[in-house]
Amino acid sequence: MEQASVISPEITFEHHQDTPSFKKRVIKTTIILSVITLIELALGFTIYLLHKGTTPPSYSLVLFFKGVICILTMLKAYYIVSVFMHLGDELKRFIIAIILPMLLFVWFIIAFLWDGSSYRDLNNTYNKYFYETTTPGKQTVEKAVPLEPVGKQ
Amino acid sequence: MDQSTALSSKGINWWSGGKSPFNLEYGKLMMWFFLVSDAFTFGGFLISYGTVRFSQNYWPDPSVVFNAFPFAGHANLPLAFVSVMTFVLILSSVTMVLAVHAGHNRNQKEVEKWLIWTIIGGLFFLGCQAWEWHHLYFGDLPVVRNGHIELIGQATNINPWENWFKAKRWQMR
Repeated sequence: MEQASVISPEITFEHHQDTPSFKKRVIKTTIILSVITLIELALGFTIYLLHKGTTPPSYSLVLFFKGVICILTMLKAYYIVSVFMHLGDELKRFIIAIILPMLLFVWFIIAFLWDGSSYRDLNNTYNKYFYETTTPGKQTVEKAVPLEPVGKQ
Repeated sequence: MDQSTALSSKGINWWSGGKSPFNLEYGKLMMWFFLVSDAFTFGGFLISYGTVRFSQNYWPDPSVVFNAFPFAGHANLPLAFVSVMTFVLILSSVTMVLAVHAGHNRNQKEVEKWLIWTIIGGLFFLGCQAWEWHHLYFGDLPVVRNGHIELIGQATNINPWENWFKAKRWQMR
C-alpha cells in the first residue's frame, strides 16, 4: 500500500496476488491456451483434409469449422487480455472503456469485406476478361507462363 | 487493503476530481489506449487484406502456400510452422507475465531472467517471420493452372537488396 501511494496518492486499487495463487493462475491459463490452440490445429487439419478429398467439401461444414475456430480465437484473446494483461483485474468502467471501442470492428469487418465482395461481383458482371482469367476451370490460356526474373544483370 | 475496498464501494464519487476515476496511474492508462490504437492499426492491415481477398475469384489455399518448415526441404507440413510460432507467442506472453509479477515483488534477478526469456522468444518469433517471408518471396510460386495449383519455380531469383549490401560492403572496406 505504501509503495503505491509513493507513485501516485490516488492509486489505491492494488491487484497484487501472492506468489503461489498467481503461479497457479498463470499455469492454468497457459494450459487452457495450449489446449484451445491444439483444438484449433485439429480443426485446421480437418479443413485441410476435407479439401484434400476428391469431391469438394460441404461449404456449410467448412464454414462451421471456421466459425468454431473464430470463437475459440476470441476465447483465447479473452484469456490473454483478462489474465496475462490484467485487464480483468481493473475497474469495470475501465474494462468497458477499452472493450467498447473494439465493437467498431463489427462494422469494420462487415463493411470492408462487403466492399471487396461487391468489387468482385461488379468485375465478374462487367469485366469478362477478369471473370475468364481468374475463375478456376474457365481459363482459355493453356499454359501458365513463369514470370521473367526482374532486374537480372 | 481496507482502504481499497472502501474506495471501490459505491458511496464514493469517482468523478469529483482528485483521483483517477479508473484507479490507474497515467502510464498504464495510456498504455491501454495505445493498445487500442494498435489493435485498430493491425485490424486495418488485416481487413484490407480481407478486402483484396474477397475481391478476387481465386485465392491460393493458405495450407498449400504455407506448408514449409525450416530445414525440412519440400516436405508437405501444412500449419506446422504456424503452430510453432503460435506457441512461441503464448510462451513469451507467459514469461512476460512472470517478469511483471517478479517486478511487483521487487525481485530484480527474477525480472531480468524472465525478461531475457521474453526477448529470446521475441527474437525467435522475428526470426521465424523472416524465414517465412524469405521463403514466400524466393520459394516456389503457386499459380492456378486449369483449376489446379501448381508450383512454377520462384517468384524471383534476385535478391532486391543484393546490390545495396554489396555497396555497403564496398564502402566498409
